Formats: sequence, C-alpha cells, structure tokens
Amino acid sequence: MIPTSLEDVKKVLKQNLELEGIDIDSTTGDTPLFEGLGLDSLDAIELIVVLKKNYDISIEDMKQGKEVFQTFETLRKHIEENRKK
Amino acid sequence: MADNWTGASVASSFKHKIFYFLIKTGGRYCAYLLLYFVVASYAIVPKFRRKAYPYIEKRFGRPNFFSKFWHCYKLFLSFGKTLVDKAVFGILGKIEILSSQQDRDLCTDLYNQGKGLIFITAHCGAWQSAMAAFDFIKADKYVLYKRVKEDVDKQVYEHGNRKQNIKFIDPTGPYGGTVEMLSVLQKKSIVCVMGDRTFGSQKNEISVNFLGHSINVPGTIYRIASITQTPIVIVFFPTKSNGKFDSMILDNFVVEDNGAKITNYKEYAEKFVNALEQFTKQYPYQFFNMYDMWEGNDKKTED
Repeated sequence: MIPTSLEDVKKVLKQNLELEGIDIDSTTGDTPLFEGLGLDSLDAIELIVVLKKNYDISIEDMKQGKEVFQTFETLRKHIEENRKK
Repeated sequence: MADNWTGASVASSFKHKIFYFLIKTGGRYCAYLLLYFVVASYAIVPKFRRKAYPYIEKRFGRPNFFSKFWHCYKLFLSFGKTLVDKAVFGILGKIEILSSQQDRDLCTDLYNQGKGLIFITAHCGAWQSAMAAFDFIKADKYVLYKRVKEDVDKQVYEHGNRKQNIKFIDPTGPYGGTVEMLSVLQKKSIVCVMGDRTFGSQKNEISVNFLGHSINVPGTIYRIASITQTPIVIVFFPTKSNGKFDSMILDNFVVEDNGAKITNYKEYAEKFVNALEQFTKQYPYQFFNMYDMWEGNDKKTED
C-alpha cells in the first residue's frame, strides 16, 4: 500500500482533467465527485484514464466505477489500496 | 443545444396492435395496404408534416407546398414500411440482409484486431432491424439506447419469437453509459451507437456541418475509441425493397488519442456526418430524424 493524500489526488486531477470553472481546492473528502463537483460522463472516462496512467489501476465495470467515484475520499482510498506505482 | 428530439411513438399502442394483428393474419403486404391510408392521414395533418420540414428543406432546397407535401408523404411511408418490416421480422422472422461478403470480411478483420468494434450508425434506413440481424460476429453486442415510456413500438425481440441478442446501455444512466461502454470494449465486445443524436451535457457535443447547416452530434464515442483504440465502422442499413436491407459501410478508422478535449475529435465527427450526408443523397426518404436538429445552431454561428 502506497500512502496517498487527498492533496496528491487533487493535484493529479487538476493536471489531467478539464476542470474549467470547478474549484477543486475547496473540496473535502466528503464532496461527491459528480453531483457535488459537477463532473460529467466525459470526466468519468478521463478519471478512468487518469487512474490507469498515473497509478496503473483499472476500473473493471460500472459497479466498481460507481463505488470508487462516489466521493473524493472513496477515490483516494481506492487509489491508496490498489495503486501499483 | 438542448435535446429537442423525442423517442415517443406517434401512433397509439392500439394502432400498433392492429398492425401486429394484420401481420400475423395476412402478412407484410396486408399491413402495407393499411399503411398507405394511415400515412396519408398523418401527412395531411400540418403538425406532423412540420416535424419533417427542417430535413426536407435542407435536403431538397425550399420546395413549394405541394412538393413539400409529397416529400413528407414519401418520407412517412418509407418510415412506416421500416416499422412494418421490423414487426414482420419480430413476428414472422422474415428478413433478408443483402450485405456483401466484403462488408462482413471488413468487420470481421477489424474485430479480429482484438480491441472490440464500434458501429456508428444513425436514425435512417432499417437501423432497428439491422441491430438485431447484423450479427455475424460472435461477440457480446451492446447498443447505446434509451427507451422512453411513450415509445410503444415493440423491438424485434419483444414479439417473443427471437432471443434478445443485444444488450442495452442507457445513455441517461450513471455517467451517461460511458464507463459501461469503456468497460465492455475493454472486454472485446461490439458497441453500437447512434451518431446523430445528442444526450445530456453540451460539453460532450461537437458542432459539424450537415446539409449546409450546423448541427451538434455526440462526441464522447470518439474519445472512448481513442482510449481503447477500438476500430470504428460507419455503417448504415438502407432498405432495398420490402423486407430486404443492405449494409452500407462508408468509412472505417481508428481514432488518434488527442487528449481529453472533446472538440479535438471534430475530424472524426465530420467523417460520420459526411457519410450521413452521402447516405441522404442516395436514400433521401430513409432519413428519419423528424425534428429540427439544426435548431439554434445557425443562430449560434451567426452570433
């Protein structure tokens, strides 16, 4: 397990997603990624790409995606527990 | 542009049942006979004709009232026959696909590259029957499709005589179906999407020129294809004669990874729209988007 902070995750998202008009710095671990932050279906794909490229993590199916993409904290936890780099 | 189309059936469930009954008892031509009268009854109603005018005016210039009426009648009749043929396929199992061996070989070769396959088609020709019948590749097949409550027209497999050989991905479901599409393509499935209608966020749309005016088309599928490197086939299924349809592959390509910005995929959306325009030139009465897909776009361009 490689320790991963919320700030690390935010930094990676900022670098890789089109986040025009979204203030990612003011979010907390409990902020819902989609309803709260305003991400959309295209951002969901980019999140999957980011996870693969930066952490070598694959999202296998819709069910797993829904669990992982609930909030910043669920995303961070999934990265921490599964990252290979 | 807001989604200004609706998937609702124009005719009631009862009227559909009359056609299904005629097909069961008298066959295709019996249903066609009634269709001529039903289509005429719709064509004389201005509110129905107005739904087709945006396309007719773009495709045929600005015809006079009588020729516009005639274009409408032919368009409605062609659409009606497509629906009857679909029901005949579902009820009697009768359908003939004339697609060439060359088309089948191309699709098979692309699929054998091991990255799944994406079919992009449109609401034209016998697309609904084709989804169920164009199944020579042995792979899981998914169609991005939203069934609205008001759509009472039965799908081929809903008539109970055919096993459902396709699965649906709901574009209004979680993440607009994108995660699911990505996931099934990574498992080498086949995904079929309609490239001519937008869903949800405008951020995922690409503005392209169709029949001389600007429309918005969905762009997400090109981004997904760039990630999975799945080959895309642009295919339409024109009806050739009663109950017979052909496949018409007008382009195929692999999408280069141009990053997250959806407008970076405009060249691929243009390939689709150019193919669609070619289809409408060859089969002008088989284009079934009965709404103003140009609405708002030209004004936006002028602004």
